[in-house]
Amino acid sequence: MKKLTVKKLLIPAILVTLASGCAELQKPQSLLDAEKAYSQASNSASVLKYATPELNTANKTLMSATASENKEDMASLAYIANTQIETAVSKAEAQQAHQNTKALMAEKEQLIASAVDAKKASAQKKLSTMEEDNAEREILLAFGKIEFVTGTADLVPGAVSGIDLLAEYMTTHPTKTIVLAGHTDNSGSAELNMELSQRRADFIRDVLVSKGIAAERITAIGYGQSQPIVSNATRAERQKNRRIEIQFAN
Amino acid sequence: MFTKKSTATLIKVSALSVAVSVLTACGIAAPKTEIAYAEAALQSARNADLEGNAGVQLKQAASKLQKAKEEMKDGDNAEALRLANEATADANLAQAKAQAGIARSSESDMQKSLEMLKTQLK
Repeated sequence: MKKLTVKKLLIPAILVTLASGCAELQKPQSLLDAEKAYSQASNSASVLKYATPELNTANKTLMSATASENKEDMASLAYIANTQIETAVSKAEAQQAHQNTKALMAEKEQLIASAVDAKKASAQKKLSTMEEDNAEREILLAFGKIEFVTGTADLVPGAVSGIDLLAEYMTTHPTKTIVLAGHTDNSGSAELNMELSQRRADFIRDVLVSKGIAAERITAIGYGQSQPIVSNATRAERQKNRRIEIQFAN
Repeated sequence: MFTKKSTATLIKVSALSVAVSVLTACGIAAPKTEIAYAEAALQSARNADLEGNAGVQLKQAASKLQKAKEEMKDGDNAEALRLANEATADANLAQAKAQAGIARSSESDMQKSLEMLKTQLK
């Protein structure tokens, strides 16, 4: 009776084992391929970043495939695992492309913004250059009419000098520097004229300094009668040669 | 009390039943849920494939789904189950391929429009 029970249990057990093909099934090529594809995919940074859940699903399928008890299930699960790995790779590709698109869009927006800024800055600069040019022209015009008392560095009383305009301009444009060049006609000796032109240029500089302009922004030079702009034949021409020239620089 | 005869009969019966269950794969229910699942996955993938990037996978999924239904009708539930699961995997891959294709084209469009802008700004 005891013997029979053992026999009774043993024989079906053997039969079941035989029937189920038992032991280890040999892995088909498709499963080996799937395992290889899985190991490649798990080394891809973008798959790990964007498709870890899909990769985990594929891994579970691979384990089920390995544990399969029949060839058909093993082949089918190997196929599914392969497909799931490919799905993970595709998903990662999609996400990567999505990220790239976002970065490109940001670059585009940045480009547009800076182009707009550049255009604005350029227009602004044009405008301010125009304004400066106008102001400087006005000052030069006023200085063209400057009149000194003959033989002195004193301005003719009541004459328009433009000094106030120049002082105001230099105050509102604090980076501007100027060179004041004094010139005379050819009356008197060249040596005295040199000295006189220097005194006249210095005089203008001193007035500007007294109005708060820093002395180092102003260079005063006397050229005497050496650089006439017209001949000294008539009174009117000599008047033209007695002048203060201004050169502006930033 | 078991007799020798009755034990032999029992062994024969159990051997037969094991053999039958292995051969017909009985004991597996009809994979209706899996088939429905595959069907839904396929529909969703078809909807996603706006640019026709996943034709091969969609075809594969549809054909496996069809076969799964036929096998279930013929009573081979095990094969039907395998085919249904494979069809679902194919459909999911089709969806991923469809989406990757769309994402790639929109990246390439964006790249082109950026290049164009750069040329215009030069």
